[in-house]
Amino acid sequence: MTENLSDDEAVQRLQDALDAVRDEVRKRIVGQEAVVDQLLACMLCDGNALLESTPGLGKTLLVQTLADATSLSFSRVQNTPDLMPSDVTGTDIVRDTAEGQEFVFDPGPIFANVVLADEINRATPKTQAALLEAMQEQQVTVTGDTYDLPEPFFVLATQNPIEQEGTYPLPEAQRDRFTMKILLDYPEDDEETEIVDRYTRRLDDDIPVEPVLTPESFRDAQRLVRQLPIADDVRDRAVGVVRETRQADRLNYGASPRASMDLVLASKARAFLAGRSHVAPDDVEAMARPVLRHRVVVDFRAEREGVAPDDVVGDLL
Amino acid sequence: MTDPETLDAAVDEVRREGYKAAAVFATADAVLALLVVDVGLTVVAVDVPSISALPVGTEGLIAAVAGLAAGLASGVVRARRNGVERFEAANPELGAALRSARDAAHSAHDDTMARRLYADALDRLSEASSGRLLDERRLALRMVVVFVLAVGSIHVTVAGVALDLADSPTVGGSDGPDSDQQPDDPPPESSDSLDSDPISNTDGSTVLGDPGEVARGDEALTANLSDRSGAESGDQRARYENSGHPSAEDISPERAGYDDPGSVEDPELVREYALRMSEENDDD
Repeated sequence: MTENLSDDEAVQRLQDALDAVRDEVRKRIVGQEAVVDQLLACMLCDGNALLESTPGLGKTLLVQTLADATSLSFSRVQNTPDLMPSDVTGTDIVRDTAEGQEFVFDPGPIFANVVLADEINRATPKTQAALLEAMQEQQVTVTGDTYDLPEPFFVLATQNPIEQEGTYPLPEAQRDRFTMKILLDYPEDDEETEIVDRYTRRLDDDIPVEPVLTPESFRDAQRLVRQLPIADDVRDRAVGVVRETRQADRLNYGASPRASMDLVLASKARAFLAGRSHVAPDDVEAMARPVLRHRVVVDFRAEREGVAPDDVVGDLL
Repeated sequence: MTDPETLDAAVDEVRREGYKAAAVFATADAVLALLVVDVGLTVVAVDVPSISALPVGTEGLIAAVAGLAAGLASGVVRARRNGVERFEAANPELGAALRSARDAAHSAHDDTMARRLYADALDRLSEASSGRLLDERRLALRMVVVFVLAVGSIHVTVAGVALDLADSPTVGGSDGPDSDQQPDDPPPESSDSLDSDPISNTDGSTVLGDPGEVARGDEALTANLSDRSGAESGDQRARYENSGHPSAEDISPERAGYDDPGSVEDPELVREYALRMSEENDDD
């Protein structure tokens, strides 16, 4: 019974710590509450996120702040057409030692808990594939040797939806590997005023953030999210929505079974973040768009009429 | 934290609450059916063969059986419907948690989050009310109808209201079909006559029958006429010569006049004139 009580306390403590993470993020990020929640949920799912927004909305700052608040190591990869896979994964280098020269693996920026892959669609398909393979396998192989990536491991990739010239759009199969596609919109009027006030009154714009969660605690939270029970009818609804994308009128392609798993898992994560021990139907509805919007392809006719994937998913809900 | 067995026990308790709610409605439905059948049989006055071995009338027995059948049917249907799902629907703040906990218990989940959910569901259950299983509006409506039917049943029994479907309606009890009605007699003009005045809406010839000779009779009776008024004392003789229409002398003539107070300038002069006219008439 004492063990049970401590389990309960541990769960409560983790949920409180996640609340504290949100509070820490608010120190640097004004507004974007839904984006922060979706990003945290994605991380609790042990998933990867595709962030899409116009430049200057604070994507990098948001991801860095999340890493700081959760005591996770952070690295950033600025993708360019001349970026090589080895620039991301790392490579063997020759190092002089007392015994002579030897090949030593020099880990690339992907060896961090949180990897921000900026403008991922600017990297060549080869580099994208290396990054996404690492993201999927949680390990990299260099010259025949396999190296495990740190746990937890997240790739948070960004895309600019406007500038498409000279980019390599991610193919559907690659997009499917992202648990969520999170859209950042412009801040509200009062929020923008607050951003200006907060960041123009000091020369050093590095607002300190307290680490309130350890990587181990974060792993515990991920395990608890997967344990979180879901009612059969709520699970069936989530699976049903994904299946319906395959027969929807205005879609060329629907979502894969991986989307069903991700939707259920994201709903659990949202429930956990809300301090609940069960998944509510609202969780499925709230997570359906971020989980499905990048996995479905709107047909030409609907696209010409200005229909977005979110509209189709909304109709299915 | 708790285990799946505790949750199962709580869910069984919820089911029992559903059965209780079903029993309440079943009782109301049974009474309602009993009264409807009872009042119906009394008003319609169906000729039901009596069973002498029973302490109650046959109509009462039929009503009781109908009530019992209705109660049982209602109880079975509602007991099936008033399951845990209905309880969850009636308590939406509890619904998703209890449903998830039931499914988790059914799958024998016994990890940290499942136990936390069981405890959470039990906490919510302790705050939930099974009273919401009772649809208060429908129950109140049933009670009102039962009350009205109960009062109506007493009234119908005391007043003896009955609709004789074979003939015409009667008030104060029916003696069955009219024995004077012959098969060749014309039927009533319409069925509406059952609900209306039996005399005014009936053909006179039907009531009086065919005209025929009246028997003279063979008993001779002497008729005595008295000049005494029945209402006065016995020794006072009625004066028939002074009765009847009054003579002309008994009526004092009066002149009809029109007196417009607004146009009378000299009332004294008018009065004098009227007196003189009256004296002249007397002299005549």
